[in-house]
Amino acid sequence: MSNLDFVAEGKPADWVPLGETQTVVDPMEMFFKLPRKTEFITGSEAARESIRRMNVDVAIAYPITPQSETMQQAGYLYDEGYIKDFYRGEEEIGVMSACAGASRAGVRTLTATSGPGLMRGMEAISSWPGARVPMILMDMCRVINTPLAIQPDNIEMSFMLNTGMLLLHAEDQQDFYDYPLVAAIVSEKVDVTLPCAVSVDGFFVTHARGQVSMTPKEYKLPPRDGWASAVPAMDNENPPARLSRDAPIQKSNFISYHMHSSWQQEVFAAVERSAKYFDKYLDGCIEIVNPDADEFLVASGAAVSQSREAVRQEGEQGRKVGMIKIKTIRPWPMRQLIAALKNAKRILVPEFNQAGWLHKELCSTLYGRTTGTMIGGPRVYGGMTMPTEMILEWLADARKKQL
Amino acid sequence: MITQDNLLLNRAEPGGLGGMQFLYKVNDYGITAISKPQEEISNIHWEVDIIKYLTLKPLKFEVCHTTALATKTLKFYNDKALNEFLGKAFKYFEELDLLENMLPEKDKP
Amino acid sequence: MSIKRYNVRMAGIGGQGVVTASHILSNGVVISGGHSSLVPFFGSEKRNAPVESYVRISSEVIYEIGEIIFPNVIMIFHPSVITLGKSYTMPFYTGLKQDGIIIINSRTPIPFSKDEEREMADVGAKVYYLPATEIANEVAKTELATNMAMCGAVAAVFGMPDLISLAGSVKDRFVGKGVVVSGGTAALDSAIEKKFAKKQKLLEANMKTLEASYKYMIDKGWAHPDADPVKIDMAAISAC
Repeated sequence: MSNLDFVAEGKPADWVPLGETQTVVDPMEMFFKLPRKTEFITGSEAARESIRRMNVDVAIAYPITPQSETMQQAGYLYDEGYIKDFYRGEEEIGVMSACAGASRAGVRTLTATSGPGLMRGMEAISSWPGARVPMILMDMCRVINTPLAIQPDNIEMSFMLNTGMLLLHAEDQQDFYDYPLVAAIVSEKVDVTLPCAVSVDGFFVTHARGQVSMTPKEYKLPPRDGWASAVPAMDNENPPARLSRDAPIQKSNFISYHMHSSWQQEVFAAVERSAKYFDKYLDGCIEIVNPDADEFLVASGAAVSQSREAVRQEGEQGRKVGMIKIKTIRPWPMRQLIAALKNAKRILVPEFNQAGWLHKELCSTLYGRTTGTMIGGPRVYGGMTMPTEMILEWLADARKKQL
Repeated sequence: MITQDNLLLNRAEPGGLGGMQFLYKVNDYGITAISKPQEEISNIHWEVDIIKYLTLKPLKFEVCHTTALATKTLKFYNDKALNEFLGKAFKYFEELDLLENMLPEKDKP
Repeated sequence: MSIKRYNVRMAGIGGQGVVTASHILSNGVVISGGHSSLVPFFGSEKRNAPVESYVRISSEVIYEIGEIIFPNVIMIFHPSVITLGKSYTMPFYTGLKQDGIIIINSRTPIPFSKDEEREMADVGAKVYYLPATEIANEVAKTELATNMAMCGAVAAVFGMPDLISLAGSVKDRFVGKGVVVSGGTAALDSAIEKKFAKKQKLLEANMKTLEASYKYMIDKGWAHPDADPVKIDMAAISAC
């Protein structure tokens, strides 16, 4: 990009975008080796710092609470020259479609949305995996209307489970700094080439401060190589781009059924292939606390924070309760969960949604593989809080076999 | 970044409302500092109470509004102010401990 | 009475009226008192592009849905479906059930490869060559009546629907209730109507084509014992 492009935007002719002053480092270097400094910042700020180091080419978004602050921060990054291009779309489906276009052109693309915004953009978002567009989607969960509310509730994640997208669930501000960086790298791996959503339980993280250890801002991730992907940039010769081909690839102007079917299988296989990368960069797709306990709390996102405190308080009473934090919802860490829980007597799944999507996933994995009792709760939703006491009550009740 | 001196533990705010709680301890007294999510990020602040520890295992404490430090919940809008207060409070607790030890057994709080 | 069940897959070229034929056959079965369902073809209507349509016919209620993967009858409306591979199903006989029937619109037999012959023989396929285009041209004076010839032929092979019901279905389609499947078909309709001064003439031409191909199959010995080559009487049709 020449300096002339920036002159038009009011920058002096000798202005150097700050992104260009950063040094590219290998992802493993950034994730595990570079020294880190800890600050107490909001989730929105943590996301901004993540984006600053992400070597993003294009960011396009439309505001919605509680994502707006993050993308506002991204706007500042654009002004400083950490993001090459940035604009606000008219609404989410336009934004998501534009993001697909950017990614198809071979550049690292980032966007963010929440709750109803995710729903609005769903048509475009659900078409990303089949189109094999790497993407970083920050999803700050919030109650889905109706009635209107803005507090955390992660039911929206259940709408993404079967799209073929990769899906991470960040627990806190630290995760909301680390996971998007990992998402950028894994999403672009040649044998993956899929969009990745990083969900977080909205307000609890974005509008609250937490401790975040960050690598120096002088270092950034390697850039995206648009030609190294399962579907090379702008390739219109092969599926999934729509084109006019004869039977049996096409059936009239649509792709034929068996072609679509095999394409879907390919997408879901790519999701599974991503597991080895997440395992490496996240240092495990799950985290286990007290692995030899016989009661477990299995959770993802903010419910993990509440569970950690419950485990600590139980520990004070002399009772060892285990906890599993699930970092990757897709790819689902089936084997690791079976190995960790096969001897559990009791498994509780606290969640911030009423459907209990995490519980359902866990049940379908553990059916026939554990003799433990699976308890779908406690659950809170609509923005309700989940005090640690609630988890402890449910644990106590479960022990009395009243559940 | 708030001070890490005398930090007993930090944890997710137990009320389940999100946010973080930092518990400081000097002898029997301490401070709880909570930062909760706010709808306006500029409203994020610290809510601080003086506490007295009852037991450590399990961790039990009660709010103590009888010291000269604070008679109600305090609010701080930035880390610097909080750190200054914490510095003062730690000194105060040390002195308080000395004084309390000088009291006859039956008068000890 | 044993259950008669026919799962028909029709394959042809865009513009021939394959989808219309499936409607006419299906509706004819219903008029005659049987059960029938059809699966429409969704896609862009493009002249000379492959077209497929599916009809289920039964003397009892039909439950299953979806396209027919395992037909017992295959109708090929144009030789290029086979010779040029203008088909969504390759080879064209894929899925044919044991002792299934294949009706191919072609004046002369199509030379198959050794593998194709063997595979068709393995399922005991009965291949009938019907010069549907020639019959249409001869009787109705238009190639557009090819689909009528195919309908008449298949009705003879099944022994159902009877010619009167089939003719009634044709009448429903072009006159009166007039079920038109799509814009593309409607365009074809107006092209046809221009050729015939009155709709009446169009109906007569179609009916004659039905009769002609029906009789052709009987003469060849390919028809069902129940096939009855009645003369279609316009008065009888109006009564339907």
